[in-house]
Amino acid sequence: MTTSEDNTAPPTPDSDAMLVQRTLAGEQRAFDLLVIKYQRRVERLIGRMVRDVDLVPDIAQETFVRAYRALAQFRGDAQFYTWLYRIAVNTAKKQLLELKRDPLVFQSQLQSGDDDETSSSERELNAQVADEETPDAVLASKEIAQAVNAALEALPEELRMAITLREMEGMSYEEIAQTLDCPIGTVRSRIFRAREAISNRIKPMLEHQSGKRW
Amino acid sequence: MNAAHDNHFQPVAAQQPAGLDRHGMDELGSDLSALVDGELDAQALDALLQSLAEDEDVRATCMGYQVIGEVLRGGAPQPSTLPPHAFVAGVRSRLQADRVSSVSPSVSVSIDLPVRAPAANDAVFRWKMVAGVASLAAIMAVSWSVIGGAPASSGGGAAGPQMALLQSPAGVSLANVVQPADQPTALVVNTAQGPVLRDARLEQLLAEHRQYGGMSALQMPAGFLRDATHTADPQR
Repeated sequence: MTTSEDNTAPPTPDSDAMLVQRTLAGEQRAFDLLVIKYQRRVERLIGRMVRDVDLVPDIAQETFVRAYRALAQFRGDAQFYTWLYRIAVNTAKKQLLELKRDPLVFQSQLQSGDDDETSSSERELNAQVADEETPDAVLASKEIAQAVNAALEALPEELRMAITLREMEGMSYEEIAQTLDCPIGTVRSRIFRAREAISNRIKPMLEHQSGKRW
Repeated sequence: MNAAHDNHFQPVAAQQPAGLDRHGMDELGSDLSALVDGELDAQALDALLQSLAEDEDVRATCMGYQVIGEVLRGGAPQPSTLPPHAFVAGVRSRLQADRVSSVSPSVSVSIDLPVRAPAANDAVFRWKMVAGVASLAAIMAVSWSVIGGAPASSGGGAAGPQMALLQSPAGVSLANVVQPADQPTALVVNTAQGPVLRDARLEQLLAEHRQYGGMSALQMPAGFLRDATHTADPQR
């Protein structure tokens, strides 16, 4: 593990932008990584727009296909997810129009999710979707959340601080390094080990809960 | 706090893919963790892309990290509609189908093209000669008309108006407007701005097209329209 990086290291280029460049250069795996990274977020977004859960994977996959076709137009002015978000919304709207179905959520409600997915309205939307889940799925979701929180509490303080600053405060590695007064490599290592510790706690729960894949 | 101190806490060993030792798994996991945060550098990205391949565990680990993030950010985790490998495979197959469909139209066009039956006189050489001579004659005729007409158009001003009259769909009305110089119908009126033509047709024309009268786009009076038809001696 790299722990020798100093605080004054130049900012690294955006990982997503690098993956886009690699994809445009013909590296299919790079696009696979983008798909893996954003599958859940795109599915959740589309899940908020459509009533029929069975449509979600189809629209989500179509979103990535459209993104792939338009990838050369991504100039990196905005975050990759912001760009992908718009494609997902437009794809969902088009599909719903073709099926002559109404979206579950109005566009105005979705606007707030454009920049920051942790906004309060998005949480409300998540709660709304959670209300429409089956009781089994809601129970499983609660159990996973409890396990994550319990694992977080059991972490050594330095790991807990690192992952809290990252996930809850949304800080970059550089900002966390400055806050905790340690090298960026150490921050990266702590966040990884915190995730690994929590992941090991919840992994059995994620395998197959209520017949679904998490 | 330093890195050595951090290492006191070791997470429970995860199930690791064949061929990767503990250190390799840590590196891979660390890279994945940084990728989720958008903090992966180019060098580590190379290594990750090499390792990722078709490794289902790596993808599942990535998903697990995302679920953790969702919970810590206060959201309720929701199950994915498809496992990552099936989802990625679905996207790939759609892209493949997209490429195939974008190629297939040209194939179908080439198949659907009608095949022309050979002409009955294809084998007769003199018909080909006749066709060649006819083409040559046509080219010569066109050239003659172009080259023969050139001096007339460039030589004098007479051909220009004739061509304009012939080509203009409103040729008849144009001929009516342009009067010979020996039949003056316009009246020259001396005004403060100098002599101005008062022509009945011009007055009618301006009355019908008021948008061209009054003020011009340059915010100047449109008297120049009358000046343009002034045939008296130049003022200077």
